[in-house]
Amino acid sequence: MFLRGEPDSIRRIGWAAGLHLLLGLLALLLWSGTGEAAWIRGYLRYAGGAFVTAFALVEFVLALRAFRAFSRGDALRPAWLLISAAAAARLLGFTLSEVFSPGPGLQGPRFIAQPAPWLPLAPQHRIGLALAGPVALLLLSPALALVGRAYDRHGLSGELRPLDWLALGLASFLMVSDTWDGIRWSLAHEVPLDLYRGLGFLVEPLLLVLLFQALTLRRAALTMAGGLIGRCWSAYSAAVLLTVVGCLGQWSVNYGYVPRAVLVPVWYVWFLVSAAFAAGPAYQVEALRRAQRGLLPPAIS
Amino acid sequence: MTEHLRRLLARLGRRTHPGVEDLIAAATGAGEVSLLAVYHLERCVRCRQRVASMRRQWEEVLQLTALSSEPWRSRDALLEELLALIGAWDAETSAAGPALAARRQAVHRAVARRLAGELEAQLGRLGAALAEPARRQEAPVQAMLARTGHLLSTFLGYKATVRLSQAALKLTGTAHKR
Repeated sequence: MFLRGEPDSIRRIGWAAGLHLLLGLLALLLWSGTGEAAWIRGYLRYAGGAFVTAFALVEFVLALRAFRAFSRGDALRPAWLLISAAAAARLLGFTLSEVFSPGPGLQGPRFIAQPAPWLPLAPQHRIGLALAGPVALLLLSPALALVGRAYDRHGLSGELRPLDWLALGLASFLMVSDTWDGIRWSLAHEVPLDLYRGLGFLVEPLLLVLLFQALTLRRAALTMAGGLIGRCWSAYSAAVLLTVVGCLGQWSVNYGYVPRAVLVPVWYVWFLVSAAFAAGPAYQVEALRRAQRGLLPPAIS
Repeated sequence: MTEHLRRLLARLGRRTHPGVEDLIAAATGAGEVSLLAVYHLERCVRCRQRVASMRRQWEEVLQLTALSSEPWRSRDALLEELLALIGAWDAETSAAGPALAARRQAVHRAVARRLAGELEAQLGRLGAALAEPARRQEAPVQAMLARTGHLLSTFLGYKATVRLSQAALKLTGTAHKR
């Protein structure tokens, strides 16, 4: 059975994400079958926008609950504060960019700021993308560093394996290429460097740092494999890895390295990113709920 | 039984709440409920509610035997679980004393098993690895908490860790009175 053995909250997140992706697949089939773009455009504009905004809200509420469970002086309290702030930035960002400003339709949803403005975007859309992208990542990176340090202190730091280094090397190469393409495009079009585009240039280096943190955190979390705490940090690692995949996919299509048809699966990656970001605090809240329940079954405690 | 005696029992039963042994007997069916307690239970809503609650808890522990994935299937394990539950009821009525002391070792093992399960749920295979050697020690619950307390405090926070530790220690009857 789907997500058997997972806590209820995770099952709900998994089911919601699964149903949303099925809906997306249906929209894709209808689009390719009828040639009517309104199907996929409507899905991305309305269902997609609602999904990422609703999941950002879930992520924020759960992260805040996790933060409030920690006392002053607890090692991970600042980390959960930063994670809550990052979730708030994502929620505000998606609300601005997806609710108050129409998306670009068939160009695909934009869930992160990019230095090269492929399409003219409304100011609130640009602010939204900056908040949900670089600002949220800027807050998340020190949080993951604090978690990594906590693992280190218990002698549980994860050592990267050759496969991790390979992934890191490949991602570095692609991200440097992405940044370089952004610079070239900006010079060619003589576009001034404003705050939005400046933050857009930050995304790639930040993601590279986050990818390194995510890979080490994933290795550390594997020492607690099967436990709720390990799964919480594995979910954050997955969210970062998927964000990298989404960004690289978008870049490769934007600059014409791969055909536009490849972009289609990339749209769906962003929904998985949202689900993974919501699953992280959901696992933590479940761990806290269990610890506070004590040792007896629910009816007894 | 004469009508006079019945009235006398009813009057006495109204005044005195039955002891935990009678409540346990009424809730589990494992033993005979005294006549005085029967008369009391007919009239006291609070005691009836308590018996109903104890019965639900008892049935829940019995259901543990049906769970194939849980380590409560052996007869000894189930017995320890039942003793732990009775220990908790004893503690509620503050009539623990020598009865609980006699059952202490079994209670400790039952609580240790539950704590080990909880640690595994929280910390995964690391939790299982830390709990296993502690389970063989004389005071397994305390040993487990000593081995994992710092780790839990880091990842769950101080408050949740104290709550979990207090719950475990309370079940073993070794929690400090606050």
